[in-house]
Amino acid sequence: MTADDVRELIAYNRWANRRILDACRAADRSAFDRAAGGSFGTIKDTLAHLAWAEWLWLERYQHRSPKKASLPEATDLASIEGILTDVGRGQEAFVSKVKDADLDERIAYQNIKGETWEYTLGHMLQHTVNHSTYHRGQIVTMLRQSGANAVSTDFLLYFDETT
Amino acid sequence: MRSTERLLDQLNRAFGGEAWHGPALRNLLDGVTDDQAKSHPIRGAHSILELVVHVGTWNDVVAQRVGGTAVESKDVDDWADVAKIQWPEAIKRLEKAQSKLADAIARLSSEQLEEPVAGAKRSRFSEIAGALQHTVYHSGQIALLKKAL
Repeated sequence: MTADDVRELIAYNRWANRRILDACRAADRSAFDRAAGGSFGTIKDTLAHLAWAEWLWLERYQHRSPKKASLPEATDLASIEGILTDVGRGQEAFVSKVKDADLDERIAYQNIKGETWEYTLGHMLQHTVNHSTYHRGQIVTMLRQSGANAVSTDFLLYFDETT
Repeated sequence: MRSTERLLDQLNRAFGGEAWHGPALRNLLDGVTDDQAKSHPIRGAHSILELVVHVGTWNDVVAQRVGGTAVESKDVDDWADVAKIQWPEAIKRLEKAQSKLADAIARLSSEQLEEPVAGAKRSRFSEIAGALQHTVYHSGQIALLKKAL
């Protein structure tokens, strides 16, 4: 994995998030707030969790360990979209400067409970995308359950659309 | 850590190791019965059995491509008819495909990882990253289906 590979992953993640946001915007408003039994109950809560995690990991890449989010409250789709847009720009700016050797840099951080962990930057960046992909799968299922149109966020579709 | 080692680590974590994003796929399948795997607890969504066969099918395709055999997506029996596939057989297929993919990655050098994959312009890394994202995506869905059982 090179720095260019990481930039590709982060660009894919932003593209996939935009497609999910578009699908949520097109769905029935009530579907967004309806509990569906997933890890975080509703589409809104799952999407808010995804956005919060992306923000938190962006902080950790930069050697910061916030114990609580300094983010606007995720009250509706528009506010979550705002967070994801800002975080996405921050991710893109961060990875634009990453060099191959940086991916092996070990970064220590404290989690929300105050426990110290240390991983390489490469693992942290990959994890961010994995975590969002995991929850995007759940959001798409919840959208289908509500009768909304499904949306594909497949990595290979991203390639077809962007290359 | 070499590029291939990092990818293998991620792939193994997502499949049966300590994943960070949520439960690893193989761990999610522990304790799922034949009836549960075939059921459709969420309206409009695939069953766990269908998702497991789907992920196994694509991981096998990616293993072939990474190993040098071009496989056209249109020729893949995607969303195979699972009526005749028993649950233990589906898990075996998934495990076999996972093992095949891990073996194919382990044989690559860092340079080969950045070269085009068989039959496409994208790199082997992109092909493998796509398989990893695909596995993780459907793992999230399987976790949701289990809660709905």
